Amino acid sequence: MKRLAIALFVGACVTGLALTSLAQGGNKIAIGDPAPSFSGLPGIDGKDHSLAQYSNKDVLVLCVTCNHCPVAVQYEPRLIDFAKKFSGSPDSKVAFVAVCVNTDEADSLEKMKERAKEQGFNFPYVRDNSQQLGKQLNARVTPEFYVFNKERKLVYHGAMDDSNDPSGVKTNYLEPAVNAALQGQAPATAETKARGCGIQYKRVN
Amino acid sequence: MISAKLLTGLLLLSALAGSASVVVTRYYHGDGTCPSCCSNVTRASLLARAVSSESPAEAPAPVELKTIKLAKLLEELKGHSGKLVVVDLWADFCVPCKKGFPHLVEMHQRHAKDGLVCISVSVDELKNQEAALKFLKKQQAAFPNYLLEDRAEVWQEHWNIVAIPAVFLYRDGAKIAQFDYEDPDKQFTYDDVEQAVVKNLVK
Repeated sequence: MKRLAIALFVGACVTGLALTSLAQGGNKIAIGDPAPSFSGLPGIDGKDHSLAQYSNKDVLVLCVTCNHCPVAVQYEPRLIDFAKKFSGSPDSKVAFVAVCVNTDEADSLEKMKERAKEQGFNFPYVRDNSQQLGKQLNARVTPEFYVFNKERKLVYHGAMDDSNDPSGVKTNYLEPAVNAALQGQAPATAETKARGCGIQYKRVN
Repeated sequence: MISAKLLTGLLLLSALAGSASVVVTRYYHGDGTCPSCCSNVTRASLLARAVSSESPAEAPAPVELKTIKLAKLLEELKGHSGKLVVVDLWADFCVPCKKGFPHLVEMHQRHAKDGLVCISVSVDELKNQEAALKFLKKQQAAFPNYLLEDRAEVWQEHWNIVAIPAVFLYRDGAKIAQFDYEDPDKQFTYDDVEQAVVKNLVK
């Protein structure tokens, strides 16, 4: 009985340690990590979206964005141009999915639908109600971009380009990363710091 | 209504304020509206007026927003010898920053007498300086307010952060605490900042 108690105690300690290390940022996504699995994310098209449904594409680009953020708004025309260029037709090799993690009223699914209609979004725009995908991506601002290669390993994470103001853009980071991934290569720049509005996550107690 | 007793108390406290201070700075995103904060703001601004208009130690300072380079700001943080400094990094485009901003104003009201120095640092683009200033005036941010001239990469690299809001505690130019949004599971709240401020003030 005493042995069992000790075994249970040790087991509990080990589990506690493991959970603590996870909670301490051991789960932060890094270049080379697999895409976090997601499913059942409601989209503005009325359908649920999953990671698996894009498995026929060579490259998956995720953009964590939202309606309310002025920086995200500045990027909307660039998202549309990107989708036109890379994911616009059924035989495109790239899938581009925008994800909204924010919980503000302005970022509800209904408001997302309105925004997409007004702006003419030509890409899936889905809601991560649980904020789980946002956390797994370690998404901190809107907009923040992720490129996953054919093996669905992360090959680029960060900003789309080097200026929020479209007239000030000198370097685009996203397109070279996507082109490299399409060639089965690693991009010259794998990480930059995204710029935008901080995403507020529900407090975990 | 502010009673005569309270006013007297405030005057006494503010007269004592000159000796030891703490400086607090914070980052904000800004988009202006913050209905849930209005009662706090009103209370804080009433207190601010009471203090600033009656006390010889705190001249009635107009709310200003000056542009500054990060390097210069870091120099400026060394200039409050021995005081605790709170630096609040924010922007007019940042909703959580603006929701939190009244807490900075309140902290200033509550702890300036104990030597706390509060500084706000906007990371807005220069073209949005007016909008940021309008928000600061509305908040009665009667402390040094700066707008960083550097590109985002510069301050992101310096503090090793991506997102705002972020708050830092400094003393004698050395950072002694950082509160940020870098880990989605451990985003800071103003209660965290307040606790650290209180702890470091009594040091």
